[in-house]
Amino acid sequence: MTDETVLIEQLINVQTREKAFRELISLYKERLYWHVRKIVISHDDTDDVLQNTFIKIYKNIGKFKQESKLFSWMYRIATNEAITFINKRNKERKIDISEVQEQIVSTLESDIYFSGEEIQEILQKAIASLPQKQQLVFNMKYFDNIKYTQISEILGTSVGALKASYFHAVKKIESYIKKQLN
Amino acid sequence: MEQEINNSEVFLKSVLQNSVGFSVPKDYFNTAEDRFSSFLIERELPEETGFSIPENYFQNVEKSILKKTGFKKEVKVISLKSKFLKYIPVAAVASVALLLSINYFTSSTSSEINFDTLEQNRYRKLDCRKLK
Repeated sequence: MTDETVLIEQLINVQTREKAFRELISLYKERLYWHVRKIVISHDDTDDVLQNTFIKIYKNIGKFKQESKLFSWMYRIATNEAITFINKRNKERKIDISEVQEQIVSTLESDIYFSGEEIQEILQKAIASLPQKQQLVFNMKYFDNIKYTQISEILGTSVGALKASYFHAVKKIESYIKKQLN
Repeated sequence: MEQEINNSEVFLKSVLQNSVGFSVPKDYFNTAEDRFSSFLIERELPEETGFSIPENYFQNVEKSILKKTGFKKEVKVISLKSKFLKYIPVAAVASVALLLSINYFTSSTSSEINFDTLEQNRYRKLDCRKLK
C-alpha cells in the first residue's frame, strides 16, 4: 500500500480524518498555492481560492476513485476553482477574460506581494496575452515542470494537444519578451 | 518542434532565471494548516445559539418602547413643496390659454364690422366686376 493510498484511507475514516487532512494541507499547500497564484495573480484571491480548494478536497475525498494520482486530482480541483473564480470576477466587471487578466497584471507594480523586476512584469503581461489554456499549460510545464501525462489528467486534454499548446505559448512569450526588450 | 521549444526555453531561462516575482506574507505557509482546516472546527459548532424569546415579543416590543418614550402615533407629513410643484404645469397651460384668448379678442375688435368696412367691400366687388 503506497503512502498516498494510506493517506486517502485515513481521510475517509472518521477517526483519522482531521489529522490526515492537516497532513494533506502540509504536503500540498505550497504547490497548490503557487499553481493558483499564477492563475489569479493576487495573493488575497489565491488565499480565498486555496481555502475553497481544500474544503472541496475534504468534502469530495470519498468520491475520489484513484484512477489518477491524488496530486493530479487536487490540481484539477484547484484549477477549476481558480478558473471559476476568475470567470465570476469577469462577470462582475462585465469585461472579457483577457482584459481582466491584463488589468490585474498592470497593477503588479503596486502589489506589495510582487517583488519581481521589470522582466518578471513583462513575463506576466506576456502570459496574460495568451488564451487561457495556453496560460495553464505554460505555467504547469515551464515553472512546475509537470509531465504532459499529468497535465493531461489535470486539464482533461490530450497530450498531443497540450504539446501544441505549449509550443505556441512558448513561442508567443519569447517573441513578446524580445519585442519588449528591444 | 522539440528543438524550437528547447531554444525558446533556453532564452526564457536566461532572461527570467525561473522566477515569477511573486511573494507571500511572512509566515503564510507556517499557519496554513490551521487556517485551511478551520472550517472543520466551524462545522462542529452548533448552528443555533440556544436563546429563546417570550411569545409575541417582537409584536409587542415596538408598542412598549413607544409607550415609554411618550411618542404619539406617527402623523403623515405632506410636503407643500411637492403639492405646489404639481400645479405648476396646470398654471402654465392656463396662463398661455388666457394670453391667447386676450390676443384673439383684442384683434377681432380692431376688425369689427361697421358701415365703413361694408362700403369698402362693396367698392372692391364693383371694381372686380369692371375688370371682367
